[in-house]
Amino acid sequence: MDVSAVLQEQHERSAAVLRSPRSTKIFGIALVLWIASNVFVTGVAKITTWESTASYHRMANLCRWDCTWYASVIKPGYVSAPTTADGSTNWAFNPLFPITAYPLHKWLRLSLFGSLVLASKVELLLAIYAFILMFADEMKTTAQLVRAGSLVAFNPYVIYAHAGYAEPLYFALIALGFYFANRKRWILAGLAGGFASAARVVGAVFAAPYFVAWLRARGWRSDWSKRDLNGLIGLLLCPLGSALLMLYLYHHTGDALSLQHAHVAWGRDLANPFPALWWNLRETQWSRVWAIMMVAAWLTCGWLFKLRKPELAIYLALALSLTFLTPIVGYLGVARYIWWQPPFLYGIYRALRNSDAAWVLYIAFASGMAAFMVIGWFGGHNFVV
Amino acid sequence: MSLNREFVPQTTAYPEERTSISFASMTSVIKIVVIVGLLAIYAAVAFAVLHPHVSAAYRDFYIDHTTAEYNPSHYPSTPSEGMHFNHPGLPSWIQTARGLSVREDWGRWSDANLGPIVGLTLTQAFDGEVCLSLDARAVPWIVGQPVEVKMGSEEASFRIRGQDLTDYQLQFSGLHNAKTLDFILPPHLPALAEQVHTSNDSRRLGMNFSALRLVPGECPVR
Repeated sequence: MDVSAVLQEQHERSAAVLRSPRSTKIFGIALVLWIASNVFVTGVAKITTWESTASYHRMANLCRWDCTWYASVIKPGYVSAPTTADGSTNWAFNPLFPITAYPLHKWLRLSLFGSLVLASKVELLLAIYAFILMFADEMKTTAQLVRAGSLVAFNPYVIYAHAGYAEPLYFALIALGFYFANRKRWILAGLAGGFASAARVVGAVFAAPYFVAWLRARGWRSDWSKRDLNGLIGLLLCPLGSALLMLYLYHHTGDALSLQHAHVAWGRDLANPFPALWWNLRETQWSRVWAIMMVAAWLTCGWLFKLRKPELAIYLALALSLTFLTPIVGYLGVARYIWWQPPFLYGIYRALRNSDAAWVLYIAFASGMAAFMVIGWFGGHNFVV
Repeated sequence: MSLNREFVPQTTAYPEERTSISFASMTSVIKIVVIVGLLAIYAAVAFAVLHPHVSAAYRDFYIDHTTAEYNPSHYPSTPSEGMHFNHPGLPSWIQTARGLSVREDWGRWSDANLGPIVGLTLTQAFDGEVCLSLDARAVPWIVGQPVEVKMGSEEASFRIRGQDLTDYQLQFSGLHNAKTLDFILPPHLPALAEQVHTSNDSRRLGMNFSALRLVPGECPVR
């Protein structure tokens, strides 16, 4: 068998999927939804200024909280030692997202904050596209494609995609990772995982669902004497982003785990998660809402197993575990660890896909929540950080 | 000869087959090199994780979690003037502090999550007689229990008298080059959330340190 012909065939098959009319249609849908999402968030941000002390004059005003930490990764860069007594540093913020914003700042002369916000907005387009692509094979009609994309474009926590956070980039890369893994494009899937691990630490756990997908594709009882070097390379690529960052931080700070250790400054440490969950469930207001979200996310894991999507279930379980085992007081900020996971949104899609009424209710809830989060964002409330 | 010729395996190939075989071999070699390179990166990461080279202050705060304050600033003070735990930073005669939670208006709580000992490393050595004076509160569930105090190699102890602010005095009489001061609190302290059900505070509080003085000589008779 001519290996070059096989490689050529594989490459063309993959490229054909991305060039196909359906792919063009998916991109068109993603573009329309992305524009709508931008109009929605910008509109709500403008209206917010009527009713509060919030100020929204330009795109860069959306850059708050963690966005300012990402800005510090661009300038002055990772610090070699913390300068504050509380020990907070920018080591906890992965570099890939600020790297994508850097050209906008350097070459387009955008402000630091403006470049981060624009980068996250552009990456939202990629996130919508990648999410639809991830399971487009299951969707027959245009309406289904639009619905799937709207789960991302009108995510209740869509503010993070418009505010200079790494969430949309991470989301897009993980969705692409699943897309390529489903097509047995192992090196591309591994590269997507590797980049995701450079965008957020949690991306490194993509190695686990990748491994399961690889085993399923080979067959559990396959001939193990046959080498599959592509599969192995892909697996080794999955955590590469985190590995390179760890080596860099070791050189820079003397501690390869400083990106994890830095979380101590925000009160995050390994702890028994169940007392924290129980306490939050007994609390009122946001703490209880977030605890319910956490329970719903774990239930989604189980449901994904039932749907015979073990890769998605395993990924969601591992991603949740990272935040579940290191809870912040009051589950502050836990929502974005749930709502910006492709498997969780896929679970919502499967739950709603056969009911028009449920879709209407869900989109009303999601849009309302998203608007409320934008208002809270400008109000300076810490229920959205 | 003819028999041998019959059993000679076919090793020759057409030119295009040879090309594809060599291409496949080359591709495999490149892939194996990539795999070895990636494994080398992960080996380097494992080495780096196991061999951090960091300062003592870094290790205490980020790795061992024995202090809630990273590399605090120092303010001028003498041991006789004392250490006021609600004051930002540490007095100049204290090098590091371990086992203490964040600073609050009334001082700093010991937190057993940060370690079983509240430990102070002093910048100067003490010899001979020293009177230790401590103003502290306590959580109600350790009232009546003993606290061991170790200065250098000499030990003393006191019993917690109440939960309100109390002045404790301890006499050390034979110190020799003492540069450490450790308060060994009662073991198995529960988390605050386990005792106060309206709280989600996971800290395992013991004593609240308000002020500490080290005065050469004997403690005044009260």
